[in-house]
Amino acid sequence: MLTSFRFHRGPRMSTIWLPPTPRQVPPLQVDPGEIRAFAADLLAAAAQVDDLGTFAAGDARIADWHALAATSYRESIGPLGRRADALSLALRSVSRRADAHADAMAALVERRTTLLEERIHLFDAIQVLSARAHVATETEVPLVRAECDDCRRRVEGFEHDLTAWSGDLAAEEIAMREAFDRVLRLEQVQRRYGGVADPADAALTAMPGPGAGPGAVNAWWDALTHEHQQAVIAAAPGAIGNRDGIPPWARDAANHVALDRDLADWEYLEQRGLLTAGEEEMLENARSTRDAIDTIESGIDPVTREPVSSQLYLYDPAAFDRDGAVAVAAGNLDTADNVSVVVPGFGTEGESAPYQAERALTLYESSRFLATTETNASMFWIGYDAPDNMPWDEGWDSAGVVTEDMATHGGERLADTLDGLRDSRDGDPAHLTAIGHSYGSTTTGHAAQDHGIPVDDLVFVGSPGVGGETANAGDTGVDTDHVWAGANSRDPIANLGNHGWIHGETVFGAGLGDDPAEDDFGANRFRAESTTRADDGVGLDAFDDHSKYFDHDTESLYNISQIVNGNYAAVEHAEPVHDPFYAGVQDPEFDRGPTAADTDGK
Amino acid sequence: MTVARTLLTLMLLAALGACCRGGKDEVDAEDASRTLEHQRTEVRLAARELVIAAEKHLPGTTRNSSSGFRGCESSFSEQFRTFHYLAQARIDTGPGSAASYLEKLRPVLQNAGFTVEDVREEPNGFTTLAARKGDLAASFVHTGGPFVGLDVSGGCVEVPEDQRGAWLRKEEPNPEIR
Repeated sequence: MLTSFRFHRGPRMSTIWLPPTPRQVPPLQVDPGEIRAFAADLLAAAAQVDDLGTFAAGDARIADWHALAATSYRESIGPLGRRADALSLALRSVSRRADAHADAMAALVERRTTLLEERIHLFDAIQVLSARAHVATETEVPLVRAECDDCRRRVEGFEHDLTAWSGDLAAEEIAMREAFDRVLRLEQVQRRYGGVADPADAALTAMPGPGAGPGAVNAWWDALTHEHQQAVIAAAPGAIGNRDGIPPWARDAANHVALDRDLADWEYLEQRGLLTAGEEEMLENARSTRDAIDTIESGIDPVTREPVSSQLYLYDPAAFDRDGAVAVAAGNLDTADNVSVVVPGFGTEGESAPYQAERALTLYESSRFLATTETNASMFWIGYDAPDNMPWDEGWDSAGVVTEDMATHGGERLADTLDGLRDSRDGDPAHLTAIGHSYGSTTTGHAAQDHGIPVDDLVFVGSPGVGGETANAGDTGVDTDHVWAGANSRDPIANLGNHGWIHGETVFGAGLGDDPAEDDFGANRFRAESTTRADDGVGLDAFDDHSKYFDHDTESLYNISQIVNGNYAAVEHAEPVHDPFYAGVQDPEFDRGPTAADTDGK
Repeated sequence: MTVARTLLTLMLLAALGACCRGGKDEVDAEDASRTLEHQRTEVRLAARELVIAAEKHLPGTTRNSSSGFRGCESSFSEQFRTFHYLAQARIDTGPGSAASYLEKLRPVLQNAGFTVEDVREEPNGFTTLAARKGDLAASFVHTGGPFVGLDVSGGCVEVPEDQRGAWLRKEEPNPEIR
């Protein structure tokens, strides 16, 4: 180790004082992610206990039981409910503190990294100065002294920062410990939180009713204090987690509370063999949601090389007769420059979430790779009751697959979702793209035509038809320059849409509307062939071409990503399908050799 | 015309369903599983070796890493027909590293037995040093920041239809490679 010392050089015995060696930076082993997970578990526990308090104050009181024992029973459950409310508040307070602790520790880890790097720089600089001091001539001595002084000041700055860092670390650990110590015993909890009004109650009283639009909901949320917002997230995650107009970060937080609580509840029952058939289905949906989140978070951003973040935008495992509703985004919906929403179709239900998450992740990776200075968020949205089964398994799902009923209902929900995304970023609008795949394009077409959707771009891929009322791109209400269609020439589902003048849904009551890739429709068709496409469009292999639109290195993913990024000049256009009266449907893409695009650099 | 086409498609859907439930699968489940598990081992070993050597050559420090099975090619409906193993890492370059990161890493790949290509300029401004060893592909990527990315992956392997869901959900017990 270097120490400060002086050199005696020549007859004049010049002295050069070297700067002191900076202190070692103490080790710090901490994983802020683990602390955040702990905070989330506490919040889920708070929600469970809160549910108990609500139950004790409501349904558990058995209003139509009138007997002596009933009075005694109600007197006994009253304190239980109040204790549960107090415990819930206590758990929430510790959870909030743990969350803050995670942030603080993450910042301390960053500061430690900076200190380590500065120490290495200083150590190297002192070694260099030491070597120069040994050989410095008399004329060089003043310069070396000045550099030593400068380096000494940097060492002093480093020492000051290191002391501050150590102090902040100790203070943070004490603060976290005190948060635990305040609520270790039940009597402490009751003294501190007994009879305290839950700040969530007042906030929820003012919440707009079920008929209110996303704009009104967003205005209500924005008017709440941060404390009230946090209280609502913990106490009533179900009230806001799926409410359009609530910003994505808050929906994510609330839905994580609900997901963690559900998994804890149902896995507990499962271990004891007490799950009902319905709960079993919902547990599968919850697990699929967790898997979808894990899938996205296992991805690595191609630009920053940091893990991809996720947001749980929609979570309702009981929706649609327990098919489930779920939407998860790769990236940050609150801040991304470009936001895309993928609406899947045939075969989709809650348990499809892990597969859809892979699609959202590949779209995220590709759009980031192709525009490295833009930020992106790509969300899959299973927010409607889609046709989810083969007819020979369980019968047509609500008899909806070849008619538009499910798309009509789904379109309304999708329009609300897109309105909510817009309203939650009213001061900072993203470039928003809706992408409907398969039957999801029928749903997206209905959202656009029936309700109007606030998107910058509208993309249909592998579409069996975009709804009977949508005869051309202009009927979507979106600028026709920004209505796009991708159709693999072998995809039999994309070949189902109406061509020419015959419209099945109006003439025969069946069919899903017009093919958006046809010239009459007037959308911009982009290339969407796959290098692994089937030889023709009639064999079983051709069905696989219906599912490749989001695979890496396909023409389709490349072009969708360019549209999502608003980089229209890079989109590779394709000639539309046409259907002359004197011949069958003609697809110019059929004979074009597919190209391999690069969507991830691998 | 539309109705006829709809009926034809429904017949094909039925045939597809019969096919996929009927065990006409030519992919051997054990072979696929063995191949993918072997690939996992190969990719993880290679990635770990490359990360350690890169840390030394740059010099640098691995900031984060991730690995697991990913779907390659989609199949009808809502599933992947093929999977591969992908390992990724970010190596932060330390003080004193020159910006010519990728040339420094050429011997790292060569020493690990990879055949290295020329440095490639991507249209997005990234530079990539790609290499191959059998079915393994490895590349160091410089995006312009003070770090280098590493991707190592195996070839895509087809799995039987009744196991596609399981491979999609397969959890990597130890995603870190460093």
